[in-house]
Order: sequence, then C-alpha cells, then structure tokens
Amino acid sequence: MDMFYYYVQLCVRNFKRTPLFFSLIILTLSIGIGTLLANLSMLSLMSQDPIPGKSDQIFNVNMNTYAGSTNNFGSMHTLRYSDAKAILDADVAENATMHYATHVYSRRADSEDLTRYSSNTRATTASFFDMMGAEFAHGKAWENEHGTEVVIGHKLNMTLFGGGNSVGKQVELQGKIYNIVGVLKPWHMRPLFYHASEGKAFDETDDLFVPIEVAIDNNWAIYARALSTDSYSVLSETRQINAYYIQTFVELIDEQQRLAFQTFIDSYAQQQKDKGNHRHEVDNRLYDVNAWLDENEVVNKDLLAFTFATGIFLLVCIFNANSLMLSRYQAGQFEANLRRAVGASRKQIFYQGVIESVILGITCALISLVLAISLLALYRQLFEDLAPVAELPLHMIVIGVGVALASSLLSTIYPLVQGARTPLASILK
Amino acid sequence: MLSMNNISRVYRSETIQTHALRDFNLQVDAGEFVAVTGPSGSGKSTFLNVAGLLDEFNEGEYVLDGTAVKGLSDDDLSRLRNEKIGFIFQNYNLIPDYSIYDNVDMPLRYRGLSAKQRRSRIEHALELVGLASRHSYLPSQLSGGQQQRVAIARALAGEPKILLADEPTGNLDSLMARQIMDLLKTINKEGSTIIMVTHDPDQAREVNRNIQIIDGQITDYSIYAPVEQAHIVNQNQPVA
Repeated sequence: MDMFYYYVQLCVRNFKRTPLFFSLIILTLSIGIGTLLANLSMLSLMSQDPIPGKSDQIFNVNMNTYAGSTNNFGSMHTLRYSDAKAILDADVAENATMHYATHVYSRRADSEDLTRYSSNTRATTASFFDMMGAEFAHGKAWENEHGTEVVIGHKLNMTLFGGGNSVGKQVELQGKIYNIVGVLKPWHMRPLFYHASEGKAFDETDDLFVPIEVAIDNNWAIYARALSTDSYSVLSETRQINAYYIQTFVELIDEQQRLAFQTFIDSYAQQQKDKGNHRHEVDNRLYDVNAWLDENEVVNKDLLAFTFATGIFLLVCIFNANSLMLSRYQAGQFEANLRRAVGASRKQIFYQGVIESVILGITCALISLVLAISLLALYRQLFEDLAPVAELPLHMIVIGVGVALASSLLSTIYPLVQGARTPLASILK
Repeated sequence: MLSMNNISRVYRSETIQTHALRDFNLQVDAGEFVAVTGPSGSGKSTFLNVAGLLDEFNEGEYVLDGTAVKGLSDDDLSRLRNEKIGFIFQNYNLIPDYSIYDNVDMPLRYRGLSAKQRRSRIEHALELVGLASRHSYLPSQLSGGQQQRVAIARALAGEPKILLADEPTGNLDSLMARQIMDLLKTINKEGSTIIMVTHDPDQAREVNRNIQIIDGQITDYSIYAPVEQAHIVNQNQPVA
C-alpha cells in the first residue's frame, strides 16, 4: 500500500511538472470520450428493449384490408374498428388490445377551480395494462368497456389530487364525470413501442386511459395518423365504415400460437376480401416489439452514423494521446532508468505507469461525463427530435468510466512497454 | 565482496561483434578502494555497468557478496542493486525538481522501509556529506560539488555493500574534486568498499589499488597502499 501511495505522489508530481502536456492529453481523450458517450447514451436509449422478457411475445398486427382502389401503403398498422374488434373477439391470441391516441382536458370533479389540464389520453381496452406491463399503485383496470370508469397515470394523479389513492374519486373529462378505478405507478416506457409510429416513440406514457368504446361514443378525436375511404361525421360511425386508425397488439406466447394467429388473420382477411370489404391481396404481418421499433426506424440513422464517426474520432484521439505519451516516456526515460538503477524493478516502473494511467483515465472520465452532459443539454436545445433521449443513463456513466480507463491504458501501455525495454546502462552516465 | 571470473561482454550488431570485456577476472575484497583506469572505449564503463548489474554479461561467473548473479530475474537483480550497491555517477543524476531530501529518499522507497526509518537514514547520510541543513534545496540551488555530495548521500543512504563511482569528479573543478575524493576516502576508511572509474592518474594513486583496462582486459595493476586483503587474479595479464 505504501508503494501505491508513492506511485500516486509521483503521478501528482508528474502532472505538476508538465501541466500543459497532461492537460493536452486529458483534453484530447476527454473530448473523444465525451462526444462518443453523449451519442452512445442516445443510441442506448433509442435501442433499448422497452419491455424485456415479453418483447418477443407481443406483436403489432399489420393488415392489408384497405378498401380503396389503390394501396400505396401495403400492410397497414392502423386497422379498421371492425378488424381490430374481430381480432379481440376471436380470442385466438393469449391476450389482445386495441387503442388509439386522443386528447382531453381534465379537472377533478369536486374542485371549485375550473382549471382543466391538458391530458394525453389512450383510448384502449382493459387488457392493455397487463400486456404493456403497466403496474397499478392503487385499484385496477375497468371491468366495463362501456362504463364510465377510467385509469389515471401517476403524473395526472399528482396534478389533480396531489398523489395518494384516488380510486373512487371523480374526474370531469370534456364536461362529463368519470370514476377513477385505478391509479398507475410512475411508468416510463422508452421507446414507447405501443405508439412507435409518427415520431411518437419517445413520448411519455399517457396521462389518462379510458375504454375505447367510451372514447368512440363520445367522439374523442384521433391524435394520430388516420385514413378513411368513407366520410363520417362522428367517430361512432367508424365502427361500421372503412376508417383506419386503431392500432392492435396481441400477445402470442409461443410459435404455435403465432402460427395459429397468423392463420386466423389470413383467413379473416380472405373472408373480408371475398365479401368485398377490401380488394387487395392478403398481406398480414406480425412484428414483435423490437422488429416493430426497427420497422419504424426508431433508432435515428443519422445518429447511428454520427456515433460511428465519433468512435473513429476517439480512436484518433487515443492514437494522438499514445504518440504524446510515447514522446513523454522517451523524455522521462532518464528518471525511469535512474529509478531502476537504484533498485526499482521493471515491474515497479510498469505499475507506476499503470497507476498514472488509471489516474489519468479517472480524470478523463470525470471531464468526459461533464462534456457528455453538456453536449446532451446542447442537443436538447438544438434538436427537438432528439430531446427525449438526450439523457445520460446510469449504465452509460459506468460505460463512460470504463471507456476512459481503457482509452487511457491503451494510450500508455505501448509507451510503457517500450520504455521498459530500454537498456539500463545506455542512458545513465 | 566482488568476484568476476572469465567475464565476457559482447555487443553484437548485424555485421560487427565488439568485445567490450573478454575473459575479465577481478576480485575485490571488503573495505578496498579500487581505482579503474584506462583509455576511452577500453571497457571501464562496461565493467562498471556489469558490476553494478546495469548490464548483462555473456559468459563467465560473477558473484556479488556471496550471490551468483547469472540467471537472476529482473526482480532479484533490482533487489540486489537496491540492497548491495550504491551508484555515484559523473553527471550526479539527480532529479532536478525533487528536493535534496527526496532525491536521497528514492532508493529507500524501493526498500520497503517505514517513513521513520527512511527519515533517519536520509538525515544521517546528509550529515555525512555535510548537507543536512540543505535538505529542502533543489539540486539547481547547489554547486556541482554539492550536487555530487547529494549523489553520494543517495548512494550511502541504502547502506550498500559496495559503492560504484563512474568518474565522480569528472565534471568538477580541482578544488571540488579534491573535496569529493577526500569524502570518498573518508567513507572508505569507515569500511565501505569502493570501485571508482577515473581518468585522473593522481586520483588513482591515492587509493589502495589501481587496475588498468585496455581492450576489455585488465592489463596492469598497482598497489599504492598496503591493503592486507587485496589481491588480483588476472590470468590474461601480459608477461612483462
């Protein structure tokens, strides 16, 4: 341990001896690591599995039941109400849900304050929560798909009621009173795979969840891509017409179930075609969660290319630092040889260099983290699309420290090995 | 103390082999002060480097204070250098931005001594060379002679069995050189074994024994002072 402290002392002395040199090395490596870390953090958040353990069992259903004469879209992820309902009613899948995004203004029913809060709302079925892994802090999902029961998210519960168990309380939504039957725990899903389309993959989970039948009956507007070959005046009319706006997810626990479901929708689509309800070739596709995220290009391709470039940039930084360290070790060869002459072994000189390298790496890591955080803050300001993922997750901090240490060691190992090979007698006189 | 038998040191390049030492034989007993002379390129420094375990040898046997050196690992050689040998270099080889104290402390750091033990040894060594009051000075604040005294204190602090000095007065004026020689002789009288490479024949005459090296071999020796235990074995000494 004494030698460890001695090596640390020597490292501090070396830093003080050539502050400009070490600042240059630290800055070179920190810029490389910080830039890479910022981009890797965003990539990591973009490409993470939003529902580990179930991501290969949940599928987005795409169908080609478009009733128009020309279909330039192919298989679509937005289904007609009738198609989605048929899937849910068939009970072929282990679990199934359908939903569409809407928006309402909410206030607590007993409040004297007339302020209404803008609330992102998911019109869906009670099966949604279990399939998506949403956990309840209080209560449970509604039992009546046509009733006045709703579930609120943690954030809206805090806004309206200041938190706590709000089951049994009432909210006013678009002028009508609804009963709260469930309050969710804080729920973060990233990417938001159940609505990965239209650039919403990094939106927050919804504030409010209502039965889809109720939302349709009340004509709550669709806040997502919708397509219709027929005209309608109120949303309830879409139950019978060719209006495509509902996303459908099914849970299929094994390959056998997947094949059975595929057969079912293919058969269903063929029947619909035979009845004249659409006129295109049957083309039904099932995407599991990660495939669905890929299909929607949730991982920004530009960012991917930029991250690759920053990786190359870091390699250049390491190479530069390596060259600088090599020249530094050559300049410091006299002291290393003197130390060996008076009794230090090659190993001890090597350990001294490694300790110096580790301290250098830790310093680089700290500066890199500050740089990465600053860079992410800049991204949030400059790029609206990237703002939701411009964060530094905990695991990336660990990776950042690892990359900094590895970069520092890579920069010093070769010069150290070269230094240890120098004949001892050649320098001292 | 030091026994070299048939030591050879050959430097090889792609086309040339240079015999820096060939069939080199020397025995130095404890308490001797041996001067090594010879023209430039004769092998004096190679001898000192081999003796100081700073350089390898190709053939022969070298025993230092009872330890056969051949085949020892780098760790063992380093330990031997640290415990048994003290170096005094012509250029002093002090670290310029270390204080006198820290320069003398350097070999002791690798000995595994406690801070208290180190401090005691450093203070004692600096007292011996007359620089106790300047322990916090930087080398640049001292004269050449004083810097060499610091180097001697560094060599003495480890309480080595043998001191190896490579032209210790080579960079000093005559007055300072005189002081350093007097200091080395004092240290020798107190029991330390010293081998000193020098170009100065007057200095060589001041010590117990002078050996001359030419072309990597001992060609001459002279005993200037009666030293009971001193003797030389040189099988290759030319017949007069």
